[in-house]
Amino acid sequence: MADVPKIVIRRLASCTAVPDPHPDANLLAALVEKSLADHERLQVLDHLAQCSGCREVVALAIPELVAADVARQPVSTPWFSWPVLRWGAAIACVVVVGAAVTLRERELRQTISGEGKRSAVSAPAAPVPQPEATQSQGSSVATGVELAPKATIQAPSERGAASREMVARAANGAVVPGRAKEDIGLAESSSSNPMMAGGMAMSWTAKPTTGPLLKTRAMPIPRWALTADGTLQRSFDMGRSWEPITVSLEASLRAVAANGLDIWVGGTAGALYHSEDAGEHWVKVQPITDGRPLTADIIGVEFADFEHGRLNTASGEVWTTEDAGLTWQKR
Amino acid sequence: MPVIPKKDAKAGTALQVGLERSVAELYPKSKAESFGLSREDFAGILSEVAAKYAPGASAKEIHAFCCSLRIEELALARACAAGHNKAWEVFLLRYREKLFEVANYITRESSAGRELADSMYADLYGTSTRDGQRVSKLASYTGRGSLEGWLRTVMAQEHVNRYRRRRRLVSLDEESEEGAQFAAPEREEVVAVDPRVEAATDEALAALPAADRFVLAAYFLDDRILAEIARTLGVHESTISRKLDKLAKSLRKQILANLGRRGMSRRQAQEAMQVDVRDLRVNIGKRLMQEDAHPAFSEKKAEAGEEPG
Repeated sequence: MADVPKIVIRRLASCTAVPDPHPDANLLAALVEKSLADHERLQVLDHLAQCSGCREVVALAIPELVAADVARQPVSTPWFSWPVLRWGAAIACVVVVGAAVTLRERELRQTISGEGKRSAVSAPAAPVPQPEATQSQGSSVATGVELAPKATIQAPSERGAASREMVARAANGAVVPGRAKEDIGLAESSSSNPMMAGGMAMSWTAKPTTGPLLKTRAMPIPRWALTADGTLQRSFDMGRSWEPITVSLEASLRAVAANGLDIWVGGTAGALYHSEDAGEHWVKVQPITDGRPLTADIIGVEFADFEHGRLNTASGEVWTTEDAGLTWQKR
Repeated sequence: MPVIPKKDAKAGTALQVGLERSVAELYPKSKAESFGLSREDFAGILSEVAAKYAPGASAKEIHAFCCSLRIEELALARACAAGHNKAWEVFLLRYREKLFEVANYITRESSAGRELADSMYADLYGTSTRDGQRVSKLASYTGRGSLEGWLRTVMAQEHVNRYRRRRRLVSLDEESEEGAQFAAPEREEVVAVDPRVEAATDEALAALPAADRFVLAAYFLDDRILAEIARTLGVHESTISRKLDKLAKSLRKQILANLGRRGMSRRQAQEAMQVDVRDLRVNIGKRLMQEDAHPAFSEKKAEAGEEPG
């Protein structure tokens, strides 16, 4: 991630004129639960942007995600993004060099052993460049350990953001979010487990894992389909085989939109779910505008890119977002 | 007889009309009767909340607003505040354990958590009186968000206030005995920052939406992790990550543009930004010591003798 200029942080910190009054607990709680009208939400966020005290209260008031219900994986990026391509090229170079050196070493050894037999004096093998150094470096990359482009997004490294996240979460025993690279022994959960933060609808579906959460290969982009009974299906082999994906036990799904690994599905009663890792994990999204949630059946979902999306409902409503579902407008 | 301005009379009529419809529709749904609240009590509660958050709204808007409230939880909370036993039974069944869980989560320590939960319970029950009337914190719940979310927020506020009060009252002698050493105050280097850079940065920050400024402040000033910020705003963690990435690039670009408008060439502007980045030493901790100037919400109200939250 590009660094924010330090002057920005300094000017943010120097703004000590906090506008009164502080929002009361009703408004702060309603903000988190997306129950505020748009203008109220803006006012509260504007206050929070300047008031560290209120930000602290909001941060403490947010409920902790239940560890057993959450599978934390490194935040994925589209596999074709520039950092991945750059590292992919570096990996390929290291592998080629390592292979070349290994082959060369074998040839030399064969040559030396052949000469040794002829001369009947076993000469010590000429020191050959040990490829381990490069190879080990290469292998740590070649096994496909995702170097977590998002970890760089966590920069500025001088802030130790990644370690800060690990410490912050490890201290309370909760699952380390977003940066965990080791298996955390998740319990299998076949149903979405709503985590109700006082009504805030966010659901995490844990995917059973039996091995490390390290990605050992770039995730392919799947195909998606909806069955007549509203079940979402995914195929990684161009449609030859399909696997059902459990997103919601309550809603029947009616529409799906995919942008690489970024998937949005909509269904009955305003059910809307979003996944950024090709359906491995889902977040329930509740579009709200002017304090009123979307409750109609979603029959159409379109996302031109990661941020700009549009929902069509059976009642003729059109809901749009320009920030990946952060805020919604109803037409 | 006081002359009521036409506008107020009109607003009052709209409120009445909106409320009548809302009460008729929502009173049965709220189970207020089972909690011990009469229809008139319920109407009074809705009137108070609507007047607070939707002053001057039309009848239709007031009705829509009332429908967006957590009606059942509002009725429960206000019935508890009024001292109805049936309501308290329901409240304790639903929230008693939750109070302790939340307190433990907030304080990260069981004894402090128990103390916070007990104190909170006393405030909710209403152990203090004013003008002979029991004063319960539940009377300030308005149903905008869930009752659980409100309880969490009130407890978080109380915890923060207690922490700040405790910090002020800590004896220096006690700290010295415990081995705390007080270093000489750090001399902050005076960095000569071009005022145009500061002005350009302020302009760029002011132009950002409130949500973006909140994300920047939470991430860079408070050291919040992406997950926490994402949960506050109700989005995916990676949305926040992308937003920060986008903000970093756009802010730099905007500041350079603003510097250009202030008479700097592109090169001068870039050099001014680089110089600032290299030499700047930001004392974030010092900057964040705002509590002396701006006590938090509950403290202010407590000092004024009002009911917080």
